[in-house]
Amino acid sequence: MPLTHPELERLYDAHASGLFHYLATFTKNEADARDLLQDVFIKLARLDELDALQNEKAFVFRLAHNIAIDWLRRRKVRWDSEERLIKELEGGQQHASDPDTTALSAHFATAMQSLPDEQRTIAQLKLWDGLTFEEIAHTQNIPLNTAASRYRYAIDKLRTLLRPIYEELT
Amino acid sequence: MNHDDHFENKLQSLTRELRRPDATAQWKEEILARALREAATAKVRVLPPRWLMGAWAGAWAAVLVLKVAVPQPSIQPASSPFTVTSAAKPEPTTETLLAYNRRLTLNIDLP
Repeated sequence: MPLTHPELERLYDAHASGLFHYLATFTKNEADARDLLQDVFIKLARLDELDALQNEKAFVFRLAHNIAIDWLRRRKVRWDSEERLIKELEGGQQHASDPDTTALSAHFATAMQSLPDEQRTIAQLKLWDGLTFEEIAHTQNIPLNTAASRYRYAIDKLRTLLRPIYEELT
Repeated sequence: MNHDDHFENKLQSLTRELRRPDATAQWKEEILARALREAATAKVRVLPPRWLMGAWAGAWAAVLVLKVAVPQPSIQPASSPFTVTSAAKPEPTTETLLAYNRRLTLNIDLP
């Protein structure tokens, strides 16, 4: 028996935002990310049961990851195009409370752009969506050590890029 | 290491400060409705794929056309005397043929 509307609605409220931003790191535009988000929820709606899942968050992100990878294979997307939205997504609207944080946030968003995709997606899952390394490894179907090391490379690179302004502000 | 932790904590706090543009709430009803609709459709669907049904129908149509167009070989009914005779009549033996020949010879009035 497929999921009911309340079950699906709960999944949407819990994960849709994070899934959308994760999918957007692959598609680099909102329309395609929305289509993939729709595909994720169509697959979720066809699930017979959700209770058997040990880790719901890791499961839905892995489902989204697999859908995004399939999409990339079909589309052979040009990675060097359509950077505008991803900058908006990762930079976001500046809601920082003070000018220093606003400045650091802007640099942070720019620094995220410079990360390789494999590191940026993991940094996003860890920093924004709060996934553990185990969950990230499950999501991307990679070894735990690989997930941790890619995250470490990402943090090292962010630290290098942000050090001037970070040390100035702290 | 503590410095690293402090830096990571700072990054995480920045992610909370940065609000990402998020239209997912506006799409919620539409996405959920379509997801449930397609899930229900998938469960109800029992027909095979359309291409398979087309191929199957085409094959049957070809069979029927061939059946009508190709002339059938004439088959004698099982009760036909010819069939029964030819099928059941044993081959005459030499003695039978000689006896038959003698009878014919006797019955003919030779000049």
